[in-house]
Amino acid sequence: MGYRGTLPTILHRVTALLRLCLPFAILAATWSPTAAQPAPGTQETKHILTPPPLRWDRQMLSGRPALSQTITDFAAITTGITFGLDPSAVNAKLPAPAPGVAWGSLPAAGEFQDDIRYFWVRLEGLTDLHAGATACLGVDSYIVFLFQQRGLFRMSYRLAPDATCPNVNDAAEEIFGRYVSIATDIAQSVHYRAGSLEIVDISDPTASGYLVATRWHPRVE
Amino acid sequence: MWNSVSIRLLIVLTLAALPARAATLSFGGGESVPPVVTDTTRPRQCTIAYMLADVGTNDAFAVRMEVDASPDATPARGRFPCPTTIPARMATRAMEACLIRAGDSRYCVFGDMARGFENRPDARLTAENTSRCASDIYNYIGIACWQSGGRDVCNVACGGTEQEAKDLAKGRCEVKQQQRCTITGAAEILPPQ
Repeated sequence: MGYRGTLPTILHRVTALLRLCLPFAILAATWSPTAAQPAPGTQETKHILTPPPLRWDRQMLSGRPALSQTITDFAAITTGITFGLDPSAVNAKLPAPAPGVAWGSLPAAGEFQDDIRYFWVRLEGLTDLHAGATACLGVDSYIVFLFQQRGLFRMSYRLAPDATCPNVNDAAEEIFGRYVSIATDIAQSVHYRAGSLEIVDISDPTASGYLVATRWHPRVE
Repeated sequence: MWNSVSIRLLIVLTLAALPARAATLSFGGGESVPPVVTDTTRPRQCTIAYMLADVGTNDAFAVRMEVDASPDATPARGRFPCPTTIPARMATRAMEACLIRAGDSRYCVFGDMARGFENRPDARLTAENTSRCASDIYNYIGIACWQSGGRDVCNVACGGTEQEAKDLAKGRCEVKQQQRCTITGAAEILPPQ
C-alpha cells in the first residue's frame, strides 16, 4: 500500500531529475574531440582550376608551355565553333539555327568603340555549349557571340541566378575551369562578376588588346 | 587418317595465324586508333605547384611549373628532386596565370593569406613561399578558407594525400585566421601524364 502510494512521487522525482539532466545528457552525447569541427553537411568544396603547366629549364631562367595544344582542343569544347567564323557559320553550328543571321543584320555591341556586332542564344537548350557544366545555369542565362568584321572573336557566357537556381557561381566555375585548361595563345578566358551575373568571356588572343581587355557590364536603367 | 604429325602441323599453323589476324583487326580497318603508350616507369620531373586566388570571384588556381632535372640528379620514389631555392621569377609567372584570367588584376593574390586579409585584400598580405608545394616531397596542394562578406580568406598546405592536404590547410587556416575554415579543396601537384 505504502509502496503504491509513493510510486507517483517517485516517478515525479525521476522525471524532474531527467529534465534536469537532459541538457547535460545532450551535451555529453554530442561532445567529442571532433565536436569543434562543423557537421559534414556544412563543408564546402573549393574547385581548383588548373591552367596548362609550364616547363622550365634547369637554371629556371625561362618557362614555356609544357603541353602542345591546338585549336582542336578548343573546338572540342565549343562543338566546332572557332574564332574567325562569320555569324552565319556560327549560327549554322547551333542545334537550332536562327533564320537570317548575317553580319549586316546584327545589332552593334555598345561596350566597344569599334564596329562590333553580336547575337545571343539562351543556354538552356544548348547542352553541348555548357562546356561540361553540371551545376544549374538559370533559365535566363545566355551566351553571346561577338564579331568583328573578320569574324568571331569572343564567346561570352552570362549566367543569371533565379529562383530555381539562386547560385550560378558553381556553373560559372565549371565552364571557366574547362576553358582555363586551354593555353592562352589559343583562347583567353576571363571570369568576373557584373551585378548579379557571372560572366565568363572566351576571347581570341589574336584580336587587338583593346578588344580582349574590354569587359561587359549590364546597363543600369 | 590423321597422324600425329598432321595434327601438330595443324596446331602450329593455327597458332601462327592468330597474331597476324589480331594485328590486321587492330590496325587494318583504320577505324580504331591504337592506344597511346605512356612510359609510366620514367621518373617524373620536379613540379612546383603554386596556389593563386582571384578574390573578386573566389576562383583558386593551381599553377604547375615543371623543372628540368640536372643531368646528375638521382630520382627517388620515381621523382626527380626539386631545387632547394626557387627564383622569384617563377612566382611572378605563376601570378601571371591568374592576372590574365581575372576580371580585375588587383584581385589576384597568392593563396596563403595573412590574418586580417579580409579588411585589406591586398597581395602584400599574402605569402608566395607558403603558397607553393614541391612534387619531390608532396602529392597534393590544399587550400582551406572561411568566408568574410562573400570573399574567401584562405590558407595553403601541402600533403601526401588529397585529404591530408585539405586537413593541413584547414588546420593552418583555423590557427592563423581564428575562424572555422569549412571551404576546402586540393589539387594534384603533378600534372596528368
